[in-house]
Amino acid sequence: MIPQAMPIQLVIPEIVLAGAGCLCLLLGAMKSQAARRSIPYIALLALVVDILLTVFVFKNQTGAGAGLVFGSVTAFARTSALVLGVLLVLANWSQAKPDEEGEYVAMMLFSLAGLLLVAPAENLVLLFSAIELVSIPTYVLVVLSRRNLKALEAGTKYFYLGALSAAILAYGMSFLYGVGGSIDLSTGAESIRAALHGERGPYALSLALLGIGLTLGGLFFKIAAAPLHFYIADVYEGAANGVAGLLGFVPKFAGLLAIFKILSLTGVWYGTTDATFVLIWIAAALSMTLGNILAFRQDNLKRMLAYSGVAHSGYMLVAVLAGPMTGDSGSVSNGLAAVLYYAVIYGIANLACFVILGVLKFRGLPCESLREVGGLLRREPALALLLAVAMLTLMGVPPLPGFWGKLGLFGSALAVAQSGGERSTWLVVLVVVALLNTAIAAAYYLRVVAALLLYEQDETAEADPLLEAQSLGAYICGVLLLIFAVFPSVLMNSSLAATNSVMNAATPQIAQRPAASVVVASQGELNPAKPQLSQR
Amino acid sequence: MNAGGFSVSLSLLIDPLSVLMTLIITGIGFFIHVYSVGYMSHDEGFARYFSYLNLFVFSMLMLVLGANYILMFVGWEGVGFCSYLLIGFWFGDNANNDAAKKAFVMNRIGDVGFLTGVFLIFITFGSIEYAQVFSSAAAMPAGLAVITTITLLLFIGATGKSAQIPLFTWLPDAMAGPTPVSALIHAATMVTAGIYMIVRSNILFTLAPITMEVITYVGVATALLGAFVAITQNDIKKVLAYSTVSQLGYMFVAVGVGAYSTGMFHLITHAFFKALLFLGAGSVIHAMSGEQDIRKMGGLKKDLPVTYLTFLAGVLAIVGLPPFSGFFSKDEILAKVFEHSTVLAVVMVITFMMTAFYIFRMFFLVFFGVFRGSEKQKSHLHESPAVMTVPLIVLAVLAVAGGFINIPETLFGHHALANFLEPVLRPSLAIIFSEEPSHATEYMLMAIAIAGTLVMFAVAYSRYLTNAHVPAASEKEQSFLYRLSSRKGYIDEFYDMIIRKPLDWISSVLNDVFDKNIFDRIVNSVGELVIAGSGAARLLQTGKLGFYLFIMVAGITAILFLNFMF
Repeated sequence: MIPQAMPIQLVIPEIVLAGAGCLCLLLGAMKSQAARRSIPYIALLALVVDILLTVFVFKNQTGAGAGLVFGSVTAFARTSALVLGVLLVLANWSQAKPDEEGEYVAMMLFSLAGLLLVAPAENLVLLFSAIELVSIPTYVLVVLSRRNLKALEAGTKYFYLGALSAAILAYGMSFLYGVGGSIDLSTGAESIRAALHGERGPYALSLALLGIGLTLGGLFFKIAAAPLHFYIADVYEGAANGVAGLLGFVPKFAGLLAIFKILSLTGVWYGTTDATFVLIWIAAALSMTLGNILAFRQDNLKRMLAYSGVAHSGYMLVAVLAGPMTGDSGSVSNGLAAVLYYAVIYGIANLACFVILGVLKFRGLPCESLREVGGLLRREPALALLLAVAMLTLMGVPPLPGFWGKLGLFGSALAVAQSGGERSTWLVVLVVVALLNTAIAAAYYLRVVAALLLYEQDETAEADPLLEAQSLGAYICGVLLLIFAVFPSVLMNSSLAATNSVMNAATPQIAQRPAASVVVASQGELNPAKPQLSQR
Repeated sequence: MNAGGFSVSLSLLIDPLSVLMTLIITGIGFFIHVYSVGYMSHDEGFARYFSYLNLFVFSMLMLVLGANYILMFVGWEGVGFCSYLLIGFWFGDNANNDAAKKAFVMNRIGDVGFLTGVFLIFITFGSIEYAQVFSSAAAMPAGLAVITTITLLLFIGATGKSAQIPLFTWLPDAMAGPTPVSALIHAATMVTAGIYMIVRSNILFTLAPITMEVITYVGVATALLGAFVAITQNDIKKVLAYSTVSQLGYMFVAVGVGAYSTGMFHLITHAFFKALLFLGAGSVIHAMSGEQDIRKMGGLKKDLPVTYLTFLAGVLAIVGLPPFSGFFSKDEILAKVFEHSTVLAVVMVITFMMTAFYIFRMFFLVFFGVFRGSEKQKSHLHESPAVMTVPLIVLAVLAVAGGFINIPETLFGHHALANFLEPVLRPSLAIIFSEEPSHATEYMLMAIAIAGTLVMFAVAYSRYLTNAHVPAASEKEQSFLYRLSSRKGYIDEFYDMIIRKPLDWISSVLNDVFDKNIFDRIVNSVGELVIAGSGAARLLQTGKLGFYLFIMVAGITAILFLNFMF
């Protein structure tokens, strides 16, 4: 199949980002100090221009071509990625060596551009390329971010393991191509679903299972879900704080979007594939439990946050199982919206934690272990309170946005369970596991909060009254968290609205699920709504 | 507001009863606010004080203006909460916090009854809107068990809020708050919420004769006990607090015998003269640099002329000498009670006499005789500023003239207040048919009451002025009755023994046996399990790349295995 020609204006934001990245590379190679100093400003400018473009010009833009399908979910993903991008640039301000500033900033922009492309990619090759465009710059970033052996080691490990995961992903996708007969997701979906149902014989079934299993495995690596989470603590610890904050959002968000796309091929949301359901169920339960248990006794804050990231991936997989199609359209019953919302909130809160640690480090204050941040309230009251807010968000204390997010994640699973079906018991069990895990997690988050606010530390370091770009980033994170705490509906409604088209496409299927023969010709970008199971 | 099939409208009800209550709350509330500007001027919590006080006024208006029981409950809880905040206003002293907690807990006990009553109303009538409840109730026969239960539950709520037996002990302790608060919340408005609630639900209570009897006897007992305890109190605010308990008892007696408008009448006059007495006491305390013990006062009329004169108006009103306001409302109660039962009327007359005695005792000890305080206090004595005395004067005028709103026919009046409230009470009046007592009876009752008051005036005069008696400090010289009174009838000790100690015992047993040995162990072992698991799982994180690659491949294999298994 020859891809349609793509209207170029659809990808202007991505072009702007990539162009700005190239410009940064060029400027970084110049000798002039002024040119180099302008690099982060150029990145910020590009991001802000992109945000304005997305919000005002491309707001309701839809269209398709060359394997890309644009719609409301892409708009949501774009906006949130770009806003987080601004925060990331601020967080990584003057992190790199002066002569590496160009590469450093360019890598961030390239990675973000990859994320922007994952959302609209509706074609296996494009999806793979976009995901790798997200990942490869991150390997570089880990190495560039710090000037010690630890970063080099972390980057190398990350690269090797990432390369392996890319191989696995590509391998899995090749099977999917083989079974589906097309690199186009929507074209191949029907055949893959039929194969998974065993309607095309055992051979096609095993190929399809291989394809789905390997692809999801590769993507689990991106979101650091168990059992492919092993790299995460070493990498987070080795990388600079700003980069660790980036790793908690950009690859994770990309991976989750891709998982949705792959799952929409399987019909798991219509109760048609048991294997995928069990696979994700176990990955979710294992990620939550293992992540929390590993984080539980960590004294090193970066490692603790890394493991807690594994647990958060597990939470999000709960809502992935709930999927975009549930009974009523209330704010807690749409799994896709819940994941989009939570990924952004998690990204902000996680970034806030790392930025604050980064600011402390930048000011020459110790910040690696729990003991070192003890009594921070006395030395840096603003930063300590921000860190506490971020930790409590991760913990999910109402009314902070983490609570609303978890409500959405687990509520969507319960809503699906309530609508009946043979798997509802399993979903309820998974939610119970998730809630128990939230309780375990509360212990280690609260320990940090307690250390920040209660412990005393005699030594007083002199506070730097300057508002550096990094602490500006931290404050913006905090303000965003508080805004979403007071007005949780702002972001939630936009994530719901973004998924409306997918929901609407999916809803008719619920009533007629037993028949499973209705063909809905929908151009929804994630296309979970096409269980065109022919009754042969 | 909707919750499932249950909906509550946020509607307000304006009728003679709520207008009357609103006027009391805003009118007296206004003067107490003005007074507070002076009284609290030296306090560092000035802004906090007024925000609480305004929140209280809001809640109280919500209570009386709501058109259904849920809105009333919102206000009911709101005033309780503000009362808690204001009693514990000076939270630096732990005794104040204890008093605040006591008030709150006692009120919560009452609230359980009130809320259960509201639930039962909803179950019985299918609505909590006054209009629907009362119109369906009016069609019901008297004496139904369910109505009796509802009204008894509501009355439990009233005993908490309005400080009746058995839940009255919080009110004297509530005097820990600033004096204007005592005047507004703990004399004029909040504590009368129970009366308001009963008058508002009059048709329900009228249909429950058993409840009415209970209310009457509880009211009489509270009136008597409050007056009895007030006789020996030496703290000026405590005297007034027990007096309030006693006067609230009068009101309950009135509504208990079905004389709702009489209860409201006494509520109004009491609001005037008790607010006046409290504010006057506040002015005295202000002049005495915070001293509240009447044994250390004396002869203050020279230095505080305005306070003295206005306080005198309040005294004459509360003891019920004509033509002051208390005379009319009190005698109306007496007449109604006499109709109901002669024995209760005798008890009421005795209560009136006790009231006269303790009021004159306090009055003489404070304003007459010689000054018994320290030299420093003496040099500091001063009349309060105008911002405080003007409200006193206004309230004094009201306390003197307030009775004229409901002059009985015996004294050539027209029962103006009763006629004003008639629309609200009409369904009840149709059921309670009472004939007016003969004019001769009424004259006789008035004469008895006035004579009793005058006798007590004479006794107090001879004891505290002629003989210049000052209450002794040590308990040894006191008789049993005196101690019973001064120790507040040992009620607090009694509650402590029958409620607090058994509860303490049960909770310590539960704590030691169940909590520590069973539940704590379960919870702790979960935590220990997680810690142990954490230690084990960390061993896998070796940091070796080859090992990670191996684990990754193993993970993928496991995924594929799972995928093929199911």
